[in-house]
Amino acid sequence: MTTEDMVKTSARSKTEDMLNEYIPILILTITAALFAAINLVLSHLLGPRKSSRSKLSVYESGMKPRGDARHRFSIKFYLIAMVFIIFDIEVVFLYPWALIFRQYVAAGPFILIEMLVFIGILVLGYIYVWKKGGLTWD
Amino acid sequence: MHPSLTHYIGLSVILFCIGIVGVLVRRNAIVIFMSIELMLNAANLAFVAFSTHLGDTSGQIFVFFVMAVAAAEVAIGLAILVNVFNIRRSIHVDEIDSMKG
Amino acid sequence: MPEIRWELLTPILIMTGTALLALVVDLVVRSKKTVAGVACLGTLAMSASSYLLLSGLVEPQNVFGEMMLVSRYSLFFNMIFGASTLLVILISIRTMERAHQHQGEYYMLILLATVGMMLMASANELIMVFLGLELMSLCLYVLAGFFPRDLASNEAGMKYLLLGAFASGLFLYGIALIYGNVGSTNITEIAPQLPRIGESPFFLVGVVLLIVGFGFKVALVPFHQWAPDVYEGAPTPVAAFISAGPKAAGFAAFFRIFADALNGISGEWLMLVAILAALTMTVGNVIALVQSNIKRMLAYSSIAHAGYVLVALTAANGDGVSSAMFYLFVYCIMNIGAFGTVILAETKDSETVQIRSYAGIGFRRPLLGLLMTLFMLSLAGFPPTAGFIAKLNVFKSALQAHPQLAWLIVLAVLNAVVSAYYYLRLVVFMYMREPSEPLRFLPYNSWSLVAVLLSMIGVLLIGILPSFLMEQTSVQLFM
Repeated sequence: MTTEDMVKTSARSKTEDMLNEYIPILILTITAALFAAINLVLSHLLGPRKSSRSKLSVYESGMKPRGDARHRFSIKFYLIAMVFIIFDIEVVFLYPWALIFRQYVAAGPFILIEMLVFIGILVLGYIYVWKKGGLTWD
Repeated sequence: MHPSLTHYIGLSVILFCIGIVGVLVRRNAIVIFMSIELMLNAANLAFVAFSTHLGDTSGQIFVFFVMAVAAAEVAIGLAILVNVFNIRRSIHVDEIDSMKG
Repeated sequence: MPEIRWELLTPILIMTGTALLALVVDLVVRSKKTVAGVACLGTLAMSASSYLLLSGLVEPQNVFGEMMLVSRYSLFFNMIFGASTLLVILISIRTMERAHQHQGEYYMLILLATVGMMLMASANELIMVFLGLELMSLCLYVLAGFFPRDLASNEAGMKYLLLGAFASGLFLYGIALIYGNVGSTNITEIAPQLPRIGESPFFLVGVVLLIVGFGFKVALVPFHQWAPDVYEGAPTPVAAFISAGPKAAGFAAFFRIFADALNGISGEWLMLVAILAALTMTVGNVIALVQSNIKRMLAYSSIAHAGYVLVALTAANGDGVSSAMFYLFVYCIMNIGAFGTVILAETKDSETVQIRSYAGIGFRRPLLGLLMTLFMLSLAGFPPTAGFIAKLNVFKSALQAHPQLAWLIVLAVLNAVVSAYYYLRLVVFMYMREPSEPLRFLPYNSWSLVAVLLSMIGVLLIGILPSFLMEQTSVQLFM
């Protein structure tokens, strides 16, 4: 058996172990889904149904409903959402960094400085957005 | 049966082809853009599948980079498309053809 | 801990630092010319440091783990990007002053795009190529649509975005397939694996997807449809920028991957590249013949020039790569010069983009006529301009490497003859036609004039004394 094959087999058996660990979660998910489905179907079949005007009306915490549910949002909402996505996605780079941090920090503070530079550039972008008024609502 | 590399790559190829067909067939710029995102995610799936198969983590790191790039692309793309819509009141690519030659 | 070797990274660090500095300066300073000044100085410093490294470097050096490969090749490309970015910033100042809005962002986007190009040229990982490509492209999408109230600019931005993002998707999938077969995205690790995987269909599909992705980015026929619309719609300085640096960057990565890593299976892709080159040259030149808008004409001309560069790739050896580097340097300078001259020809009302508007300019504005004539001669490849030497080098290297591809060289020479027709037509218009309506030209803008004169000096100097530049481009294969 070549080393390559060994790597493959070990990778295969590792995946199988991992999948086995997830079986209880799978069972739980299925049970939960079944429980909810059975309850809904049963109450639908057994429960008495009498509809009235007030029952069919939209419920908004006791307030009189106003307007349509398909409301148009301000464009500002999307702008802020876009800015949020950009900054949010950068967080994924923190995870692999955090994983190897302990291993490399012994060799010197370089790994810390590296991340500080990364965050620094992000902060610069943030200040830019702030100063240009990208975060103000009006 | 556990899904094997072939299944993942098969799914990824299917997603990729759906993306390509979407870009070539649909005429709404937003839908074209969504199809492009589908292509990127098909590539992500292929990266992760290969990475697991090869026992090499670098493929998974690439996916992070691709995700970040895709997010930036979406932000810029939507900004440009919103601008086009504001001026022309349409984002159908067939109607946007002021330049010819 | 990966070895970093900061001294070899200075050009990229300077450029990144300049881009960030431009952002800060834009926030605190009112006069936007300061931002342009910072950008110019940073670009100059980057070019200077690249030149210093280039003159001292012999062997290619791995830096940043093995993410990048700093070599004579990548450093020379840095200088191409430096020259074109500097010229573009100079010809932009006037247009941007007119636009008033977002001037600081404009220069910052140009600088960031340049960083992306530099990453592409010095990448040693396919994923670095992708990141560089995206950094460059994302900036270019915004730049193409930089005047959001202008219908054409807006449309140019959208078209470039949709087709560019599509190309990125294809390119990325190609990388994924190659990664799956090679087991690594390191470009230097591909070549040793070729005997094992060279015939694998998945791998070959990946290679074809890379060609298609690059084809979109450098506008090869049949992936060129975006180029004319984008060049016409984008602000003229941006069109000049898109036609120069990004094309060179695309070719830098293209050559690095194909002439270096995939050289072992050149039998598989050589014919495809030869056909693409033939199509690109011919279609570009033939459609350029019938254009009435000078920006569109220059767009098709730049498509044709991409075809000539691709001829050099068919050589797939050190000579071919050197001749392509020389060609791209010359092409960037003369093309930006031509676009810069279009900017110089602006009138009180608008830019002069219709070719018939150039009637009689040769005598009414002698300097402008002279400059335009020079750039047209160089683009057509007449001696003693730089364009001639560049074409000669490319054709010679391709012919020496593959005598069986002589048909391609014959076609390329025929194409050069055809292209002379539309380049010289503009000259004929400028000197031999009477203007139909008097145009009210603005006085020359000094910054644009400086840029155009610099390009003119470059084109003439390289044309008369090419040996200095040729020394810089000499690389061994496997840069």
